[in-house]
Amino acid sequence: MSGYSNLPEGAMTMSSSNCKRRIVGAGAAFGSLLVSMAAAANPVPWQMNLDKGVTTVSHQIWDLHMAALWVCVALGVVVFGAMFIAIIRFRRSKGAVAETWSHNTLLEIGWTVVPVLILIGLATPATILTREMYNATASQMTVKVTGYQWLWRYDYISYDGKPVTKVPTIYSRLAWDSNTARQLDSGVSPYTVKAPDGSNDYLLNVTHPLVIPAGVKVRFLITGGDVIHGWWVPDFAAKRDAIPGIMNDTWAKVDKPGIYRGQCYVLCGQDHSAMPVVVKVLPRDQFNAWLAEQQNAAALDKAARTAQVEPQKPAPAKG
Amino acid sequence: MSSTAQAVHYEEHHQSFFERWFMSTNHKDIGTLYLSFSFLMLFVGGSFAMLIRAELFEPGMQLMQPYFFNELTSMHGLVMIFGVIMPSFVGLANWMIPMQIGAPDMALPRLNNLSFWILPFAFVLLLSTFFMPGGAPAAGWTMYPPLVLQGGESIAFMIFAIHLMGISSILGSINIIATILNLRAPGLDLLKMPMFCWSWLITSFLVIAVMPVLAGAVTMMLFDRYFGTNFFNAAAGGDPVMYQHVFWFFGHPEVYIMILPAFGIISEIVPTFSRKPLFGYKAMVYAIACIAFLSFIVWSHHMFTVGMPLGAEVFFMYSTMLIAVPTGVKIFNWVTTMWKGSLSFEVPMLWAIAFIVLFSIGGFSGVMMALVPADFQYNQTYFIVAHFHYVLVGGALFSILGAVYYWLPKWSGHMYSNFWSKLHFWSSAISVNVLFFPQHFLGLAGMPRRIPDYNVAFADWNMVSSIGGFWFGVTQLVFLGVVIHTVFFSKAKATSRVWEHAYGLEWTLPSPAPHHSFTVPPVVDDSQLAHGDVSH
Amino acid sequence: MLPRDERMDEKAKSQTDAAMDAQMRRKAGARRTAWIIAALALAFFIASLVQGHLAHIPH
Repeated sequence: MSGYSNLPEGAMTMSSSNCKRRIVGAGAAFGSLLVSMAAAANPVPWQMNLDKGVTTVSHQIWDLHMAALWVCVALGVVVFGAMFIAIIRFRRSKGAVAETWSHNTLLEIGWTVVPVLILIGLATPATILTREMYNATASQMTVKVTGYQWLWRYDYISYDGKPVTKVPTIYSRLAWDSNTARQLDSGVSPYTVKAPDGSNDYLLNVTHPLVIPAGVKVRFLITGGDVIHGWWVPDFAAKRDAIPGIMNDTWAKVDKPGIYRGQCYVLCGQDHSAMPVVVKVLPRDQFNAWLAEQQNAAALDKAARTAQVEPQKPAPAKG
Repeated sequence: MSSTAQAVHYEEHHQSFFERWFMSTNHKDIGTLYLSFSFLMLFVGGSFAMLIRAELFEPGMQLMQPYFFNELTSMHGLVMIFGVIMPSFVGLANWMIPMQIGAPDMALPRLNNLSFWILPFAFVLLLSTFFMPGGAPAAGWTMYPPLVLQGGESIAFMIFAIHLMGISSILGSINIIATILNLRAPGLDLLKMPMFCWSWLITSFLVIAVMPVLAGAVTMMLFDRYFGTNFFNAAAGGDPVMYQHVFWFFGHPEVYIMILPAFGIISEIVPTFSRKPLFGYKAMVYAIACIAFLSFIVWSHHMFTVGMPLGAEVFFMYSTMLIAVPTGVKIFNWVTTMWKGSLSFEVPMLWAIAFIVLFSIGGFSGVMMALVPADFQYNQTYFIVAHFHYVLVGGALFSILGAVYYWLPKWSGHMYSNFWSKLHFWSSAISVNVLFFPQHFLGLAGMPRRIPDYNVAFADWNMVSSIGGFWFGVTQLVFLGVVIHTVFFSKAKATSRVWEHAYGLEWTLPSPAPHHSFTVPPVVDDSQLAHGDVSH
Repeated sequence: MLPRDERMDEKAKSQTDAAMDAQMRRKAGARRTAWIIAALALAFFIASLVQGHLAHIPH
């Protein structure tokens, strides 16, 4: 799972002696490098580009990101290319004599209007996608996410139009092995913290992940319990601030089962780096089974507890 | 050539060290004070950065507790913004504006002195918080509540320091506006003024408008913390997001305050070493004014993930994208100034060219971040950190260094070592990219900012970035050497003109510039000005 | 204010003196500008504190 990238042979070599071709060549090599690296899921060493992710929204964001990137690369090639040509051709040391002109209104208008058109070209798909990202209607499941210092709490609210009852709240903290390794002078190397599949999940593993079904539009209600946190799963492109006193929402529909990892992204104090987000996406039938198991477990647990000792009477109020 | 009238002779009375440096009313000395202070702060804030990059060199915690790391990142931001970039630009303004407009000094010389001396006091307050129980502020330079209210005694000191720095900036800007609008030599119309003066005139209005708003935000924070109000406490009907709105209403114009003077500097340097007039002077003035105006209506792009209504998100996306247009115009105009010029590559020009490249790279990531859906993946990651360091280090800092190399011969009367100054440049220009370019990759890979420790997948680029950081930090010691040598030891004398094709009133003065210059306003000869030709 | 040497007699102002007068007028203008801008800064400060009341704060 944690693949190491292979740099395309000669991606960074410059064989041409012509400056502008070199710039274009480097840009193209760089771009192809980025594209080739887009396929990975969780972060991999030497990763250079955004992941495409596993939702329609994350794919569309990736497309927009790449479009913007290419526009910027093209602009950079033009502008830096012109400047470097000027640096080479118009040197005083080679006897260049300076012109005296210093304005051209048509040119100014041109390079004001053209960028506006380019920006409109980017803004249009961006607007449409933003509207889509804000549209959490017709969700089939609702989960409430609460950020605390320094853990996430997940409550299942509703599923398939029915409220979810009897499923215990999930408290999702950093897993024990990461927590041990991260202490100052722990003597435990982060490289030894591994998930069952062998990938390194240091600072990205938790005691209890959030479990959701695949192929279901899930609405996340996000809030904070003490300070502002931020809930983010990059592969879903689901990200929202978790603010005390405010109920934000976002949504995701994940078709591909798997384990997806993210992190708290708003500075929230000392252990801000140690409250990861882990979402386990199960195929629908497996999720239904899991949910039923949780509800049974809760019932068994409750039965077990009430069978033991009679609940204590509350102590009389003092004074 | 001598358009300078004879100076009125008056007693050059001998000032004691204390009088000259603590009670100065001289714009040159106050300029030197600002620049020296900010240079010291560069090493203070820079040492915080070195510690940060040292901890981030490898995954795992090696050097410090996570809370102290948060103190370092917060103080690094506060020191660099309020202690390095802003005072440097004010120092340059102090030195250069009176000389460029033919004025004997700033309009309010004693206020000028106060404006400076507030700063060391404010920074002693701020830096002393490291030694208090509870430590320095650790909620980021942005100080969001409720987190910031969890801090200890440092909160009061931080707020007081910010108030003081704000007052210093406001007083300085009042002085600059009053000076430029009233003390220009006769014949020096606004549209013949050097670009550096234009950039500072406009920046001053930004300062006046938004530093008080920052003061308002931290005052509300102070009251929430100590006097039982609930401005930002949701449980009592307040709103933590309102802080963000008020803060960023300050914060966005603030970053333009930190870059507009840089634009002015580049517009001074590039034409001199291209031996060609600045292309599109009027357009450049309008572009700065446009950027300044637009900077007031983009602030929420710092808050795209906070949960704003869709209409607001989209509005701020459009306004943010729009601000790229006048900025792009400036870049195009600088390159066109160079086109078909007669270029030479003295040290100031190297910094200006590096500025154009590095600032543009920062601008490109800015355009990408303006797109709301994409920003949802970039926000609060190292992609943002890379963006603002490109524009603030590759942009603002490089322009300040370029300005010092451009005007130091005028200030000191000496030329600097060609070898060491070029070494400083090339070492800085390369290491700054090793330091910050990989941070784009880290952000895109998903690494959040403000974390002292990270998953091993992020280790490789972090190590590269840290190596670049150490290299960049050490290189600035070369600059210290160059400045000290030039001011105190260099024997190479500078001429009045210093640079062959430099135009402007400051170049009509001897080098070093006399302690009191233009005591009588000069007769302005349009051909001596960089923009004396009114047709453009 | 720059110290002024006494005039020799009542003849017309020298170019230097005229320039100094103009400069003094400009300095007075500068002080007026300064007060106006300071008032503007104060207005922004008060506005930032007041805006919390004008902006709808949810309960």
